Amino acid sequence: MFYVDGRATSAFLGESIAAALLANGVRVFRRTPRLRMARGLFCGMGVCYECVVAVEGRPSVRACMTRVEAEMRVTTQPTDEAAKE
Amino acid sequence: MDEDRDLVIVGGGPAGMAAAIEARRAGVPRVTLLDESTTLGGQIFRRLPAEFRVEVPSAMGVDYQKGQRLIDATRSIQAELLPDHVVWGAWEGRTKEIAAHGAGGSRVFSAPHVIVATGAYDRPVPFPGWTLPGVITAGGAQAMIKVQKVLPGKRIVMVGSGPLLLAFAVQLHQLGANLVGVFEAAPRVSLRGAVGLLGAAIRGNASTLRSGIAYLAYLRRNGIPVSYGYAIARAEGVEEVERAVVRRVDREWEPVAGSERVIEADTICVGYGFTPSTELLRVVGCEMRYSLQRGGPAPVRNGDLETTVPGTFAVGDCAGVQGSEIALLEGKIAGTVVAGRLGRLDRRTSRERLEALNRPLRTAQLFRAAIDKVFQIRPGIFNWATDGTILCRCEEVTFGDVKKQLEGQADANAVKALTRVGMGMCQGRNCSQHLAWVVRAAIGGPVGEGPLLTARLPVKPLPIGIIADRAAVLPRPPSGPSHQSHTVTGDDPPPVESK
Repeated sequence: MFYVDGRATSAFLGESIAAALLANGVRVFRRTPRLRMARGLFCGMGVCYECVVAVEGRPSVRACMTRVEAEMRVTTQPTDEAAKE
Repeated sequence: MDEDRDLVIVGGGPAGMAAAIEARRAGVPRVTLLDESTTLGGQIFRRLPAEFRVEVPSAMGVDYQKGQRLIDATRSIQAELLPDHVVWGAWEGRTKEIAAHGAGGSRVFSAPHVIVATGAYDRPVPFPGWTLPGVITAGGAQAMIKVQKVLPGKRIVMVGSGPLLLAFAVQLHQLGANLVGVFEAAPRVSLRGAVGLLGAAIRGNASTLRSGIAYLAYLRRNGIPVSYGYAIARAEGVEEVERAVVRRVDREWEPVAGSERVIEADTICVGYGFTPSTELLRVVGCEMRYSLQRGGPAPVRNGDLETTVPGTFAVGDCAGVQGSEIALLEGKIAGTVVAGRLGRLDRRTSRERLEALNRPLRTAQLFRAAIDKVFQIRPGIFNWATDGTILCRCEEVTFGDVKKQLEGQADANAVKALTRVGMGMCQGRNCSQHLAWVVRAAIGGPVGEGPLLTARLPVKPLPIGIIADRAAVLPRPPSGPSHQSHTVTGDDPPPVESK
């Protein structure tokens, strides 16, 4: 179990955050800073930086390259703090 | 920590692993192999997460088994294997230095020889709507389905070109995807032409041709329509893909007006080949040559697979996309050459081994050239975007934004400064080839490759604290009783009074 924007979300041990998000029907991982475009998984191998999410408050983590861990807190970007600026 | 090595290999895919095995086999002592991922294997031999249980190993397929054997062999040779390490910098000097960041911090390795085996990634193809969630690369879809066991969507359209398109469509369907259509950009007659061309080049590679026919038969049996001479026109949807619009293209892949077909879909899987990862090579000054068919810019190499920077070798797809068979052979060749240069092999043994490797390499290259000739990337692909299409995904810059700034500029780097194109986290990986194309088209003359964005350190995005970590990156000053000054680093105890 991990948390996506505060919601308890199930995942398999060892899977990537991106896979867990997709498996739970979440395909919009973030919005772009200027035009607020919806973005999600694109290259799946760590090259494009489209799938970035915030993990435990740390921003710009590639969801496709990072494994889910129990109780991990993931937030889609921009984070609340960044949005306030 | 002593970071001197005899050979540093960047990239743990087939080419890198083959180089490590061959170098160690010849007795090269200190070999370090670095890879960004958690496991070795690169893309083609990508492993399942360690926690996933494989109940029927044979069901994973021939490639998976082959990859496992290669990884097991690499683990048995007593080389220093460092997965989870991002190589972010390289310097040329009295020796070569490679900076890598892992869980333990940043390390800088020194070696007289470096083999770069950084592979390739899916060619980014801009078209209207390509940034919508649901548009994913063939590699990305494969990673999700094969490795993570998650379907990327409920109704999948595949668009692309090349021998991998059909193979991958079959694989997707076998793994449970609801594939509603496959659209190959090449005209149907290419496949018949392929039989003739391939027949001339094949020696023992007939299995690939048989496979192609088998794939088509499988898709037909399962009711999955395959269309030729069709390419993606645009992705439509509000927040995610809701429809895929495809259209006919001519032999040069230029769109044919009035030929659009709309398909209800939530996922568009895009596979128009791959492009080499060359940032590390460019940052140390390797001369590059552009080849559209090989995926883009590739390093110029001599017969030893050495780049124009002496002692720096490039092998596998990062030197021009040619597939895993060639990657394996090139890795072995470079490993052998380095062993010879370090005096680990006498000249005769070295020559014999290289001859034994170059023979199958030439055969593989002939076969590959025949395949490439049949499944050519055509330059019309650069005209699929409109002015309103996003060019730089990271910084949200459109083709129109860039063209406006090109009046009076012919320099990609100047355009970058004016529009921020290429300044985002992907560091130009998604946009640089198309940007080069647009720049070239703007200055007129034969439309071909244009100037690339300059590669700079770090070649992968890193938090600034890593580069500012002086204890890791800078050498410690010499210590001794005559030194009164004391350089404080993060790990040092507080200064003591000198007597």
